[in-house]
Amino acid sequence: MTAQEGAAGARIVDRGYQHYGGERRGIASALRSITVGTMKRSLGFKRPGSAKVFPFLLVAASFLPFIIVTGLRLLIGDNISRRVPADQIWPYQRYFTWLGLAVLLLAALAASEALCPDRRQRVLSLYYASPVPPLLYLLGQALAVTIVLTLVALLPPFLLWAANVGLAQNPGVYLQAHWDEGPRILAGGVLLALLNSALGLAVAAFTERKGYAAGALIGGVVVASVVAGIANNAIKAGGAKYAVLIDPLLVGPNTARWILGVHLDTRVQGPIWLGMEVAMIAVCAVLVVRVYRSLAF
Amino acid sequence: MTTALRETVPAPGAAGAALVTTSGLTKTYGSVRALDGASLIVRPGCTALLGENGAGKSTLIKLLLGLNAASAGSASVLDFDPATQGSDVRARVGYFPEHDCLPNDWQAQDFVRQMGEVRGLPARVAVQRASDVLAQVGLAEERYRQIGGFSTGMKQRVKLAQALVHDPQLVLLDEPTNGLDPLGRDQMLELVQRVVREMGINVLISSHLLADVQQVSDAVILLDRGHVAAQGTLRELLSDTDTVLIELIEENAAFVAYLIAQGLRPEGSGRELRVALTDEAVFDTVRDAAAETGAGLARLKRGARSLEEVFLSGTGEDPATSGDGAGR
Repeated sequence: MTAQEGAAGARIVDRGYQHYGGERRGIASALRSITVGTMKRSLGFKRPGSAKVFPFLLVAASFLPFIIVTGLRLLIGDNISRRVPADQIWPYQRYFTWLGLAVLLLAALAASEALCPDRRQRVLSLYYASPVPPLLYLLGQALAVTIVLTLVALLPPFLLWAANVGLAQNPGVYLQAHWDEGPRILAGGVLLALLNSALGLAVAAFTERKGYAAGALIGGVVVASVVAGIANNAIKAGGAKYAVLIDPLLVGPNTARWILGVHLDTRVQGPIWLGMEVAMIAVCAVLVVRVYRSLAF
Repeated sequence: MTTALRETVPAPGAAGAALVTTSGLTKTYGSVRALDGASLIVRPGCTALLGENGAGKSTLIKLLLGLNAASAGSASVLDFDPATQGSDVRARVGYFPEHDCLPNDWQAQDFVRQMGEVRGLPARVAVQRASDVLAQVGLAEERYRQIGGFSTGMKQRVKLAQALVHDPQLVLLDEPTNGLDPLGRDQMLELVQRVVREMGINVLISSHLLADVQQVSDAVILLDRGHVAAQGTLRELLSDTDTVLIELIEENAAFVAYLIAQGLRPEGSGRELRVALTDEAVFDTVRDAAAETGAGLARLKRGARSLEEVFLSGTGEDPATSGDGAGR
């Protein structure tokens, strides 16, 4: 219904149904629509207030070290500590450990929001009845979750690095000495986001209920972490050291630490952490695709 | 049956190029043949897919959308082959599923906009068309409310809006009056008629309700256990029969006796009678009977078949004894 005021005060109150003869876009546009829609909903946009609280808290927690360190440097200057250089107050490797839990919790929220409601409320049948192929729908949801997690896994340490460059006494000299940290943070953050996105989606693909999916992911990671810790400490056999590789809370951050060039205080070498992370992502991706291929329309 | 054409000979329906054609379309699930060699034509306007639950209506719709592969036979939808060009078909067709399919915590406007975008509309156009289409289905004021708070009738309207938002050439409506009260049902059928007559969008409506079909459709395809039992325009299917329908103002035994004395065999009882139309003189005989016996004639016309009779004869059931079948 439209109302247009004419010069003589005449009004059109109903144009009736209008046919559309304009541009029609391809599946790339559809993919963008699905991705952006899920990103917004994962972060609580266009949803009730209660759905905004946890995403907001997790995003805020992830940026907290950056805000505190940068704020202190801006307020006090570089003499915050006599023993530690200003750019080492919160090292990047510690940041990734801090982010590991936040990214996992956000993955539990975002992945379950991406997949479960569409299946439970059977909206999936409408997507399948559109030009969007099922795997493209899945790709859109996976992209959305990964981008949301990347916001938390990558942006805070990257901004901290940028702040370290910008607040250095001589930014040009500092950048020359530390330029490689930027790409390393980028790689570590993206991998951490990918790992948690893959784990979250793999769990969410097996249930229609958001609560079950989120609970299963968090519970599963906690159990894996406990089992890995017990196996690593209690079993004396040589291969037991690899038990830590089943702990997702260690795999992401340790891979990021290795990428950052930091010495790992574990008995497992960096490339093995990276290999495990890539393997976990691949296995999860295969699982999700298999589940969705088996879904009847 | 002279007017309801068999499945091997597609009906010459209303004028216009065929929107949908199928030839020997078959779909089996294990040993079950959900669709068994269906050959049909859907022409512009509103065509009803009529059949009992399990007759193969939903299976046919899935095949036409290219969501399932046929076991045998072929189909063409808007000149595309759904088996190989399913994406092209789905970009031009709107789909209204039988089951619930709406996200409860979305605003109607957002949901319809998103459905427009995934079917190819640019973002800004999708916003405008979502508003317009929701207004067309009577949800202008409610479009920013969450769908979860809507009544069943409003949800059905949102389902219709999402099927129309991308301005499809053909809309597949699967049991659109399911779950609606009588008023809601009438309103939905009015909307379907508006979609065809005012919006100029072709409709293939699947239903097991004869009254719904008769109210909105120009043509009918009768599915029975996976077969096309009959198809044609309503005019063809509900053609005249070789009987004369007599409706009296009140029951009159002398009138009946007069007809029998003249060699006719009136059937029925009370005020409604039928006699065989052997030649046009039968009308004169009835007139004379009324004049001689003083019976008041309320109606005298050549008998026509009801859609229920067409359905029952198409499914091989005896109209006189059947109490089941498609809903009346």
